[in-house]
Amino acid sequence: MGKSTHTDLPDDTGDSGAREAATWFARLLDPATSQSDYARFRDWLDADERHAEAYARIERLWGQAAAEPEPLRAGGTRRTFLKTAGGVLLLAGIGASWTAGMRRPDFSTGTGEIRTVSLSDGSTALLSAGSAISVDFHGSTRSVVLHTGEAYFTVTPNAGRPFVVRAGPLKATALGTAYSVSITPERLSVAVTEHDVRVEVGAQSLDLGEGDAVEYEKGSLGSVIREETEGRLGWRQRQLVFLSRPLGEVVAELNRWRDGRLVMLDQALADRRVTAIIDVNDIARIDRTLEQGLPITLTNYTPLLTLVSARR
Amino acid sequence: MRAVSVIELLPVYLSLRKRLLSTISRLVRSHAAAEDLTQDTFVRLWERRSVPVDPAHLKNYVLRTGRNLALDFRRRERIAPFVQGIEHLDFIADQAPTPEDTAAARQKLQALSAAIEALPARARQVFVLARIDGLTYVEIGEKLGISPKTVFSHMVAALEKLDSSCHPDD
Repeated sequence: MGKSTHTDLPDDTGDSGAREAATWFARLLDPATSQSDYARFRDWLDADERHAEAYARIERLWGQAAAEPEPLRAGGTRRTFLKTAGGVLLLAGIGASWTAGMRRPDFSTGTGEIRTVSLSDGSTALLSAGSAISVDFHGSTRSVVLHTGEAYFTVTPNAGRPFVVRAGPLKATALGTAYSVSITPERLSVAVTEHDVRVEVGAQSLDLGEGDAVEYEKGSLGSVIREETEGRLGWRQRQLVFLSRPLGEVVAELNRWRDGRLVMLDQALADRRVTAIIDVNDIARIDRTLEQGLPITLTNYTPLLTLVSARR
Repeated sequence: MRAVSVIELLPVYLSLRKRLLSTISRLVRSHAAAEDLTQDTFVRLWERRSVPVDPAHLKNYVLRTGRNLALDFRRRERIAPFVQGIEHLDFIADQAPTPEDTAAARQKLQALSAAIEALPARARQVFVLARIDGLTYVEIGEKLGISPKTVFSHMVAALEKLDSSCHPDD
């Protein structure tokens, strides 16, 4: 039998399962646990189903207790923080079907290009890669149409001239000063970082506050999403942040930043959700970054066509 | 201390990513696992972004998070062969991080944080040094001036109390 260095093994007689489980867990924390101790652990697990349940509970609480930076203190809400950080509105757009019949856009960006457009009233539109907008400012109208991609608007306040961004059937009116809109073939979304925005589509209408976002998908407006707005704007620093997004959507977004085309044929893989940050600053090494950050393997078929499959 | 925005978190994480990968690689044999854990570090940081952090300690926090994920991966790897075939414990071998991004998960996390703060002082110290700083019983004993055996009993007490705080009916 191996010698226990500084721990006692659980007493099998009469102790509650919880104490035994805690004792076993504490014992197994030692990397120098002996083979015979492991064997006794297994015997204990096999002895009663409740032992395994109790042990599982300790494992879970251990997992949850990871890396608390400091003990949690009350106070300090998200909204307070966002006010000091400034505001942003994000709108993500919907693809080709919405733009059919549109005239040529006034401003657009190519693959991997980010560009700021200054509007005549002092407002600005920061266009993400592969994006296009048209602008119509006259009289009391300040109107922008987002054809494709994503754009972040900082709006000069003017109560008499509503600033409205349209993307497909969706209309986002600034009640404040900063928001972003984006379009993908499946989804439109709006996110706000400063003051409020009214989002309207068909008969639905929703007011978003600072830090809020909403998506419009399959014909209806979703519920308000909080806390993700900063992530959705990572592209401004060329960090694409994907928070539990389907891989298919991630690939579609990447195609706006990377020359050539990534194609995914496996629908199951496309539906799989991932959370990752992809740094698109170093475009030359992007494929390596993608293979490291996502559960995929890339195979080049031609210089412009790359197949995406599940990582082996 | 205040909640950290992704705008702050991103550059810190990215500037540390190489170092994270190398720290994690020293702890974990498989290169693929090390890459995964480096990504998981970001996921974990993101999921906990509303927990207040002293901005001066952000870098250490990132590195510690990565190191702890690696240590825990190793611990579960070590234990996995001995829990094979036990249904309740399949998740140990799975090595997939539990998603924490739901309202229910966040509530659980707050309850657990409160329970940790409510532990008797020594038990809390031992638990935090083991879980957050990844110290061994010997190292904790040296730091606190107590024997490893005493450290062990404090750990058992901490785990038992946390378990009963989070599951008062059991």
